[in-house]
Amino acid sequence: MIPLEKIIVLNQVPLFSSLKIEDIHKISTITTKETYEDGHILFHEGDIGDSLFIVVSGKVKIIKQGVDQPIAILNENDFLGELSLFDAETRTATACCHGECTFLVIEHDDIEQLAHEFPEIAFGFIKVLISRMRNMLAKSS
Amino acid sequence: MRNEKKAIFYFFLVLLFFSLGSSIARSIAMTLLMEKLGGDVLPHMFILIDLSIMLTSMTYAKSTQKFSGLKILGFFFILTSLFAIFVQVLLYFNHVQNWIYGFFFVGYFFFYTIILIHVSSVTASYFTAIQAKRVMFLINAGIPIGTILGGISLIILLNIYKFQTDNLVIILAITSLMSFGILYFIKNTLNPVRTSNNVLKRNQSSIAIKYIVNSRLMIYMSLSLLLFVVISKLLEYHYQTVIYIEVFPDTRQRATFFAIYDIFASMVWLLLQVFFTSRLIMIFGVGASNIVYPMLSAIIALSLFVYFYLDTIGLMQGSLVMMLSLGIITQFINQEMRWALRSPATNLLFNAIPSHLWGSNKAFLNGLMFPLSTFIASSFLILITGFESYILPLTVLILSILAIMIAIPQWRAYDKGMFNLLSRQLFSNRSELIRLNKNFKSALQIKLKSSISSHVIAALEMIRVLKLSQFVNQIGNLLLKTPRFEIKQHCINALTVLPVSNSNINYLVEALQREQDAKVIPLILKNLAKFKNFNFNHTIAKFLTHPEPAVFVEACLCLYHHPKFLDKKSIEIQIIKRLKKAKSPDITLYLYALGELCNPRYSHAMLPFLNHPKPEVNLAALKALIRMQNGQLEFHKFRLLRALDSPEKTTKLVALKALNSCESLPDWSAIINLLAARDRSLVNESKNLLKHKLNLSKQSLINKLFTEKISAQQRFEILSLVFLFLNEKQRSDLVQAADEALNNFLFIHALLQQHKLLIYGNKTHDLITKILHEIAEEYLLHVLTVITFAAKENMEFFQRVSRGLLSENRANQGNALEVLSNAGEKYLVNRVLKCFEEGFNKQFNIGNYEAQLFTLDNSMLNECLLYNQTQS
Repeated sequence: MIPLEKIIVLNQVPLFSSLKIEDIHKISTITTKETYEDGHILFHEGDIGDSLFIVVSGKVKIIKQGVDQPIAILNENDFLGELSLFDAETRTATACCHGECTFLVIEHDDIEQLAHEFPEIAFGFIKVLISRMRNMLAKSS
Repeated sequence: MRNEKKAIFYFFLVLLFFSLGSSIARSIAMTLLMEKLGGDVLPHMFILIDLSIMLTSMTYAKSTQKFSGLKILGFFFILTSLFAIFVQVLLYFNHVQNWIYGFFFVGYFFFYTIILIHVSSVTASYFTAIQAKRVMFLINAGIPIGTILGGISLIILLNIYKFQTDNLVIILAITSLMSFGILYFIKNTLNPVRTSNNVLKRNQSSIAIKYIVNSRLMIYMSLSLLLFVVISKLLEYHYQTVIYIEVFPDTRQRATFFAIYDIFASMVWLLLQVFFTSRLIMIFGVGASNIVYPMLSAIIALSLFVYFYLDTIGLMQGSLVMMLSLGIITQFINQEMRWALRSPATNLLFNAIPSHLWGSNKAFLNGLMFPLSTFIASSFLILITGFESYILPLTVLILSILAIMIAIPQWRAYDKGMFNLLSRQLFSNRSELIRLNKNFKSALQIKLKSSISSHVIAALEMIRVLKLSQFVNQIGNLLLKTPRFEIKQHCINALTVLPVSNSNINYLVEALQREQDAKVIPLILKNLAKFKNFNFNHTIAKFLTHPEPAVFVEACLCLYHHPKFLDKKSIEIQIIKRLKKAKSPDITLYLYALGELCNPRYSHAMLPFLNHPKPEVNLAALKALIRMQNGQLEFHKFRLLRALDSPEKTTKLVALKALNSCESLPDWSAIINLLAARDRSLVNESKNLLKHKLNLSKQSLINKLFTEKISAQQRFEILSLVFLFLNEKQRSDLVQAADEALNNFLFIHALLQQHKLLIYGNKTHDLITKILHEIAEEYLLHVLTVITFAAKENMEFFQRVSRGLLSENRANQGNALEVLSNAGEKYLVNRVLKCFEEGFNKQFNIGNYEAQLFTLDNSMLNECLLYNQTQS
């Protein structure tokens, strides 16, 4: 995956799409491409989360203990584990590859360093998370 | 633009139908009342109308927070229609009861006034602030046209079709329903830009009241209204009872004159509204236009005063023609100019008030201030009866001058209000947050005992900031007892800043003797070093053998800088000795210690560390070098300039600060380039340096300003430094470059349109769109930067206007354009206004689209295009 392709993918992800190209470019430098086979478990419910996964291709099933059916299926450009970028709490569900999947992975420490160096990136995340929170509040009310 | 035309047309029709019905109903109501009840009841009727409006205003203000403006307007039209049908039925079956005429008169004027108050808010909510300024006159033209059509219809219906006056009330019901029907179209085809109702929030009413009380604009608007009503009533009284009665003693003659006057005056009103008022407001702005009406009233009052005064003292022969001319002009200014100029200009002042507060503010002005003003005017007229005829115009003249004096700060308050609308938060809660209550100190004591660290730290910080010495013992004991590092740290800091006493020193020394934590001891030592009048060197000397470098360093420095400690040489030797043996993480500490000795003799020991592979060692060596040179850095300036290329932000900051003490620099470009840094502290520091050496750096800055490739931020910062020094030619070049940037902005928009059509679905499509948007944004910021300086505005203006224009919210864009239009620069502003108003419709010959994208010389864009080529 060439750097431009990473930027193209990141630009499609809602978490980063409102950032400036320059910032997306910086984030692309700390991402790594990872490919897994069908059935690979990305993380288990209760694991300590320390990375964000962006689905480049394939599908990911989100499974919760005690629930038979997957609670969600994630597709291209979806992302999982975004809160792990800001804290290191445990995962709330298990994520399992459904078919071969390619991800862009961002480690907690890398994004933290980047956010320290370029506060506008952290500010961009805050804006996105606030907008998600607003939407959730609007839905719940 | 299509929607704008549609909106203008629909609202024009609403006003046209409403005015048509109203004009007929007004004539019928007045005629029937005079005929059946006589003119004596008129004052009572007015009191009833004012009272009903006053009472309704409260409910109306609340409703505007709950329901949309359009719904409320529709409700009023339906009510008016039902009222007219009810009156018509009553008149048909029971026309002998005279109270019906009074009821109709009061009811009609009540609905007419309340609809007129509300309709302007609804109309304005469908346009941005800048659009409203341009289109409201076309929409308001519906009122005089409707009035003329109503008058003509009434004459035809009465004289040709021989209808009875009693049977025409139903027309008001029909036209109100027609207006309601148009509202239905508006609801289905248009969306409001500025919503006049918000989701009901707690304390909404108190916010509205707070706004009215605290808003300067509202205060000036209230005073202006009060003066206007009094002036208007006095003038009306004067031409009706003094001039016309003398010119037309016969009632029939007078009625004929009024009929002719009404037809011609309405036409002139229409022409003025469409061709004069709109231009006046577009050219001079909303604030300035509001001065015109009081000026007109002052001029006519002066003319009336001169005429009647000269007539009274016998210096002039009374002339009926002159009196009639004065009467007509006075009536025209009082009536027609009110609708053609004052009302539209005053309504536009609401642009500077948050749209969700329009309802409450209008209710306050029209429901409270208006009746109050009427009462004052009436009382004044009763008092003034019997005085000489020139006293009244003289009073009006004084009041008009007062009105002009109020309109000037009102203008300023409007511009400021518009500007504030671009801020994120309208009301600052800061004052409420800072309010300290009576139990503040007891609350601090409770917090200091809290088991939650953050509470204790917050209390300690508060004590430190406010220097509350009565807490010394509590903090000292906390320092000795707490095991938590953060709390100890805050205790030490707080004890150090409190007024010096034996208590705080004793606590610190005791803590030093007891403390085992190697992280805490250096903190205590560092703070103890600040108390130079106390000698505890004996205790501190024990720490010189401490294995922990941080403890050793602080102990060294504490002793070295103490006036009573004499063996300074031994300290220097010990530090150098440890530095030579030190490994990586500790080197920085020893370098720091060496620097703090402030002795240039040791600079040779520092130099090897400036090229150390580890950036943190580099930085420590640079800091130490600067510190020990005591501002004598001329010799090291090339070293400092090289440090500006470091990838470390702190190194750059340190170097920039140090460069301030150098005499002159061979090259300013490295510092000027830092004005484009994304980190604000770097920008500020380099700007401080350039400002400090402006005599030397000015020419380099100006040269950089006129190079093609500089960012909007860099341009802004450079201009903030050198704009005042630019000559006329340079300033005009700057405007020309901004003009080109605006063309480029439009060109990028044209490319964006082309891009959306040509290669939709391509992998890089969204990325290219974003890149083009960012390039366009950069060009727009270039233009706004130049406008900001040319108009002598500041950073806040630039930030708010650019944020507003780049916002996707049309109301924000409109507010930003309105603020821009009030700025001092005209050429570029008009160009920007035109671009945004026309929706970037300028046609460009794009030619080879892809080649055009390549010419933009954007590396990311080029990469996308090459990627597309390889993919296809």
